Order: sequence, then C-alpha cells, then structure tokens
Amino acid sequence: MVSFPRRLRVAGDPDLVVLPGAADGPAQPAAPAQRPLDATLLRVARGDEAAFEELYDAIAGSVFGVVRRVLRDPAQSEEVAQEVLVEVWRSATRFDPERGSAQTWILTMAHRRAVDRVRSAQAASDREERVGAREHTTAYDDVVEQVETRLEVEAVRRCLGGLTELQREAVNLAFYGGYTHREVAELLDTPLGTVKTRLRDGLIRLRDCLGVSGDG
Amino acid sequence: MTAADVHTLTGAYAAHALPEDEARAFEAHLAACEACAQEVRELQATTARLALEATATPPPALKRAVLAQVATTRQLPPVVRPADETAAPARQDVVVPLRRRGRWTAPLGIAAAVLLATSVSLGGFLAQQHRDLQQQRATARAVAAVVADPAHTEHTTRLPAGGSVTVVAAGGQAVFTGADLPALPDGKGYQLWVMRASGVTSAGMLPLRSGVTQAYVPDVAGGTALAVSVEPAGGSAQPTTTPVAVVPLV
Repeated sequence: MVSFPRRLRVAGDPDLVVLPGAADGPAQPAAPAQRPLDATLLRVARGDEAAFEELYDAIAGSVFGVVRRVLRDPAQSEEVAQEVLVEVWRSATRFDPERGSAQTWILTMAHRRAVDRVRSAQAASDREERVGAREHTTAYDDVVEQVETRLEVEAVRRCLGGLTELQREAVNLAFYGGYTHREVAELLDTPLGTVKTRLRDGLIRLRDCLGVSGDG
Repeated sequence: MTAADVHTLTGAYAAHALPEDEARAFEAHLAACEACAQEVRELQATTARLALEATATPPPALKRAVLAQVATTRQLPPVVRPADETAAPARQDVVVPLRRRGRWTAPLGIAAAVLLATSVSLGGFLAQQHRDLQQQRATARAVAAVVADPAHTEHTTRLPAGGSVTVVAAGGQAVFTGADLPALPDGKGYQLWVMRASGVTSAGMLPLRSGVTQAYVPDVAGGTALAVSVEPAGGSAQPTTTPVAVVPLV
C-alpha cells in the first residue's frame, strides 16, 4: 500500500507534497537502457521517420522471418511483412512500454497477422499442402548478421531442445505451422486437452529456460 | 469447459492457436484473471523469442516498399488521457490554500490524504506524454483543491476481479484513483466514463502501472457517477462491455 510521503520542499511551492520516487521528475519505464528498441518505438510514435528506419533495420529481419516461416510462400510473405511494418508505424502510439517490450509487441503482431492470413485465405485442401511445416528444419537458410540475433537464435534452439518431444511438436505445429489447437490435436491424433497442456507447459519451459520476464 | 480448464489456454492463446471466437472469449477471462494475464504476457514474450529464431535477411525491395508506404501513411493519434486536459492550468485560481499542520492526515482524513499523496505522483504518469513540470504541478494543484474542498464527496468501490477504485469529487471536478487493478491483455485498456442523466461520455483511457491508476477529470458537472469498463486500447465511443466499477460522484 502507499506509504505516507515525506515532505519535500519544491522550489516556489511549499504546499506541494512529492513522493520520493517522483522527486526527480518524469518516472522512467523499467530498464529502458536494456531495451533500446522500446526507446526507438516511442520516437516512432512521435512521427520520427528516421527512428522508424532504425527500427526497420533492427526488427524487419525477424518480422519477415517469422511471417515467411508460417506462410512459406515468398511473395505473400513480403506482402504480409510489409503490412505488419506499416501497421507498426501507423499504430505506434498504441505501444505501451508498461505492458511489455517493443520486440514482443511487434513480433506478436507479425505472428498474428501471418496466422490470420493462413486461416483466411486457405481452403482445407490448400492447408494440407503446407504439411511441410511438420518437417520443420533447423538449418539456417539465410545469413543472420547481427551477433546478438545469432546468440538469440542459439539460445532458442538450445531451449527448444529442452522440451519433451511431444511439447516441441505441439509448439512447432501451433507456432511455426500456424495451426489452431484443434488442428494440432487432429494432426497428432491427441485429445484437445492434452494439446492445450503441452502448449502451455512447453512455452513455460521455454520461458524459464530463456529467462523471460513479463516485460521482456 | 470447466473453470480449471480455461487457465490452460494461456499457451494456445499466446501462440495464436485459438480461433477468433475462442480468443475473444479468453480475453474476457483475462480481464478477470490477473494470474492468467501475467502468464500470457510472459508467454507472449516467449513466443516473440521463437519469432526471433526465424530471423532472416529480408529482400531489399521490402525496405523500399515499406519506407515509401510509411511516408504516405498517417499515424493514429495518441491516446488522450483525462489529465492532459488543457483546462487544468485555469483551475489555479480556485485552489483552496492548504492549512499547514503537522501531518497531512489531520485536516483531510486518512483516505483522502493517501489519495492526495498518490495523486500528486500523477506527475510521473503525465510525464510519459508531457515532459512539462509546469503542467504536472498545475494538475497537482487542481487535484489538491478537489481533495481539500470541505464539501468534497468520496466513494470507494471494489472490483469483482480484484482491486478498488476511489473517486473524490468537488466543484464539478473529480479525482479518480485505482489500486490492485487486474492487468489486461495487449490491445485492451480500462476506459473511464462520466455518467449523466443525459448520457455517458468518455473521460479517456486510464493509464495503468502495476495495477495503479490515477486520473483528474476536470469536468464532471451534472454527473451522477464515474464508471470503468474494459475496452479496446484505442477506446470506444460508448461502453461496449459491462462496467467493472461504477462509483457515485454525489
């Protein structure tokens, strides 16, 4: 609960009571120095196109990459990636750093758009042609230049390796395959409840292995 | 689906493996389940890392196309919070000088003093949008005036999903604070409304930080109550969900 404030003198306003945390002026969101992309996105929200270009350079590879992993079709992937990146620009003022990082905000949007595209466009027969998602390869097909991203990729692959095979299968099909949990249950010939549990447990294990917090 | 089952949907939701109707139904649950909302935030941060694993080099044409489209695309305006109202500085002339006493609690009563203390830190919230100390202090003075008004009304209401909100009103203005409010999923926010006999008007989206929110509403004249409802983060013209709290103004 709130503790009673100590009285501080603020120049010119002796009646103003200031909480210790607010004494220095603007409150800062959690650890912005560790999340430079957040700062960039906040500048984008003020219409800064140069900041948007910086943001593009930092994140477009991941936006494009995840969209392409789900959609597979190169032309559609470029189209959806462009939609996502323009939407990031258009709705940047809706980003709230209190609720999570810019990286999470942007990549959640990218994944959701890719999945929406898959589900809206395709008839069931078309979906079966994408069964290739099952044989999710672990090889790079592109050179990833930034060292931080390479380290990130290594960490994710290592942590995926820590899941049970059944958890990894459910996560791969749902996340990279873009299937609904019912479709995953169908593909794996497993009860729906089991799939839900494996998805949750698998992601929790990943979360803990990667050391993710709610604002990561 | 039993109550126990619904909590296990956090993974499927974070992985976008729920179809549209189930996702919307789950979001309604998240508004009332802070533990699930927190878990969803963490699992979304986790699936974002999975997305990073798929990073690839985009074709150069993509950058050109995106920058070209951005140059001709308007951005959404910022969410205007009630405390940003430019009417705030004009209220300085109705500030009631605060009597100097040993402790704030003596003249105001404990609840009102706590309210004042948390409300003054409103500056921290405002500062995210307005790095203007003058504006912060003008609003703080207006807030102080409401709370110090001997004729102020004060009401507190608990939310069904946890947390409580308090409204202090005087002279057609109101100060709204909330504590322990459940966090909401991405894309949702708490919207504040002024209820009058003539209808319901929006007072803006409430900023939320670790379950705490504060807002100064400069015009509640004729209002019977303030209400809070869960809405899309961009706000709605009228409430689209049943309010989670309704607090009298009189």
